[in-house]
Amino acid sequence: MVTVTSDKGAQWWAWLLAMAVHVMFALVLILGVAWPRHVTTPMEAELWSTKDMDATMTRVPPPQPANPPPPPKAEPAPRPTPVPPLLPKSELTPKSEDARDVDIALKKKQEKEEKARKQAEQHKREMEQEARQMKADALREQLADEAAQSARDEARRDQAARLALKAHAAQATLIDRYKQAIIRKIRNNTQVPDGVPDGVSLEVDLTVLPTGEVLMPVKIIKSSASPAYDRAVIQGIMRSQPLPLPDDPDLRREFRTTHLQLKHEK
Amino acid sequence: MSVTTDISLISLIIGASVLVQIVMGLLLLVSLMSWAYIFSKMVTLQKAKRQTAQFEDGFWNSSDLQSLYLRATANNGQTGSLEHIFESGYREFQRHRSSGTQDSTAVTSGVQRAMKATYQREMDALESHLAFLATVGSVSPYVGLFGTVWGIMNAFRSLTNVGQATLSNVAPGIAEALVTTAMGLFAAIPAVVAYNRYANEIDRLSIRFESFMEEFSNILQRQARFPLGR
Repeated sequence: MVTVTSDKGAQWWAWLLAMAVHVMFALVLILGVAWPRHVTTPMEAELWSTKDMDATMTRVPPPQPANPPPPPKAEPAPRPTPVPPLLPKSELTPKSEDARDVDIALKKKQEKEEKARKQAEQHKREMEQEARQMKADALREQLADEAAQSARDEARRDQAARLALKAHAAQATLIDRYKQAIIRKIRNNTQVPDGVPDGVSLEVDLTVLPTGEVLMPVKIIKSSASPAYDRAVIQGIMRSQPLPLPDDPDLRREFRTTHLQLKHEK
Repeated sequence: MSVTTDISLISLIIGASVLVQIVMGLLLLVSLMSWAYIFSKMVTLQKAKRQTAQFEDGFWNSSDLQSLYLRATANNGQTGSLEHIFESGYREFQRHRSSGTQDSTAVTSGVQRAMKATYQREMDALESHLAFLATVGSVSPYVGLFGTVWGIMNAFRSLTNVGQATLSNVAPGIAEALVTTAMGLFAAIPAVVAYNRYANEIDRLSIRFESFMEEFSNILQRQARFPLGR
């Protein structure tokens, strides 16, 4: 009998290990690598003329009516003066001198009292009114203050928004201006052969290096129907290097892919 | 507005055509098998090396061949390749002696033949599955390439109805197709590395076995001539 090392296949733990290796590798691939999600983000340029915008911007919003001061309070109607109590007539008719004297004295006294009371009342009313007036004044002042404050805030916000928009617009116009300059330069360098019909237009996408050089396979987005014109324009682009670019690096970045439309006009 | 095209790995695999997916599945299976063999072979070879070293130690330090033989036959399951070779050689030797043969060259050649047979069986066991690793290493890149070519063919065929051919028309298809090449390489590289390493280790083991066989047959030849002592 000869004993030989048995020739088994892979054991179960080897399979498990192999699985583990694959799972690990898959995890590394899926989680560890940043797979691109956004492939293309076309450049967006918002173009608007500054003139229109200034017109819209300078239109000041209608002044918001500040809380109107409360309507002046109606002056309290003067209270009717109490009618002096009528003396009983019966007492007056059959009058002795004494009685009349007493009567007169009494009357006088009554009148005096009445007068004093009236004066006091008058005084009190005046004081009250004054206090009311002062209170109303204070309230009105405060309201006016608040209104002014809110108006000032609004103005400041407005100003900031206007500045931001202006900057944006300025950038947009700058980009536009440089694009015009680029087109002008290309046009100057383009020798259009005879026989190209008037009005054909060519749309290209240029990849522009920060130095103003153009990466050469120029991407034709929309060909003019005339191959001769396409060729001539691409020659012109080649000859126009370096393209005029802004100095500001932020602005220059906007030109990395530049979309141009070139139209043939005589 | 932005064109969002998700090209994560999973979507690449799911979006592939059926044939490409079959190729991917095949490559995954092959890769799994080759890794399983890599691990089991690694352990087997480690064990074989350890057992060989142990037996060589025991052999050269002991003067009694009979007790070594008895030990080898006793724990049959745990013995290594070299011990098996020794066992078969010594058994042949004993048979010759018990039959009373005095011709030492006949004894020696008989012992050598017996050991050679066991050696070849042992080598076969050690080398099992190595051929599979070699095949995976050499073939799976081609299989992956086949999937890629097929995928790219499809990507270009889908261009026929598009007037303006842009790179974004073909890019997803090509990316999809290239996944199979990546998988083929992923299966092939470890297999090739493991194959080379294990083949080298088995070569060295076989050299050890062969030299042991020579030395052991010398010893037996001496014993056949002078039955007493070594």
